[in-house]
Amino acid sequence: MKDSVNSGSPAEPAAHRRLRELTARAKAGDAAAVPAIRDLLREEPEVAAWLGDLARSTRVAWLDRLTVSEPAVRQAAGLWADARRAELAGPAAPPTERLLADLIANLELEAHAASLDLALDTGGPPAVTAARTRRADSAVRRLLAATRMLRDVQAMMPNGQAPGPRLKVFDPTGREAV
Amino acid sequence: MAWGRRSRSAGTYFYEGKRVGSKVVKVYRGAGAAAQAAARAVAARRADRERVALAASELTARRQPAESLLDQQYDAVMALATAALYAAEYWRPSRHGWRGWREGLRELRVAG
Repeated sequence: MKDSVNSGSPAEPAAHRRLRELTARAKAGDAAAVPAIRDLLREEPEVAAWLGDLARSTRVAWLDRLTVSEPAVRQAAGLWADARRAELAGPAAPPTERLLADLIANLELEAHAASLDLALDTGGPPAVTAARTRRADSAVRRLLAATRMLRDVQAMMPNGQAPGPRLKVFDPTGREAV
Repeated sequence: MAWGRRSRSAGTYFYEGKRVGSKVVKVYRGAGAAAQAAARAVAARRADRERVALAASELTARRQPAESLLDQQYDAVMALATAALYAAEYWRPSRHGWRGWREGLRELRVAG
C-alpha cells in the first residue's frame, strides 16, 4: 500500500467541468449533449487520472483521521480498503467501475468513522450526539447511493462506456436496417 | 444575569435574564446566600453551553479535510458515472431508476 500522495485536493480539470455541464444539459432533456458526453469520455483520459488522484488523497485523509497514532491499525485499514475495492470492481473493471469502487471504499471508511464516533459518544452533550447521528445517517445515505450507482453501471454497461444497442428501424424499400 | 443594588445601605440582589418568546425578561433570584447560589447555578449552565459549543466546533474542525475531499470525490465520481450512463444511451426520469431506450419505445407505444 502506497500512501505517498499529498492529502491536498487535486485541481479539477476543465474537461470534468465541461462533463458536468453536459450532464446537466442531458438531464434537462438536451439530446445533443449525449454524443458530446460520449466524445468527451473517449478523448479526455485526464478526467479518470484526476479522479484516481482524488480517490487516493481522500483515502489518505480518512486513514489519517481514523488511525491517527496507530501505524499497525492504519496499515490494516489500508489493506482492508484495497481488498474491498478489488472485491467491488474486480481485476479488469472499466475505469468508471474502478472509480466507483474507490469511492465506495472511501465512503465505507467514512461510515465506519461515523459509527465509531457514535459508539464512543457515551454521556456526551445531546447537541454533539445529534450532530454525530446526522453525520452517520448522511454517510450511510451516500454509501447506498454510490453502491446503487455501481450496480446500475455494472448491469447496464458490461463493456465499460460503450453505448448500448442502438435503435434499428426497418426500412422496407432498402430491405435493411438503418 | 445581573446583580443590582437598590440603595447604598441595602444589599445586592441577583436577577437572572431569561428569554420568554422573543423577549428577554429579568427574574428576581433573591439576595445574600440565595443570590450567590443562583448566580453559581447560572454560571455553571452557561459554562456547560460553552463546553457543548466548543466540542461541536472541534468535532467539525477535526474532520473537515477528510470530509471535504470525500464530498468532492463523491460529486465528481457520481457525475462521471451519470455522464457515462447518458453516453451509453440510458436515461433517468426523476425519482425512477435508469432505463434503456427499449423502455422508452414501450412507453411511446403505450402512449399511441
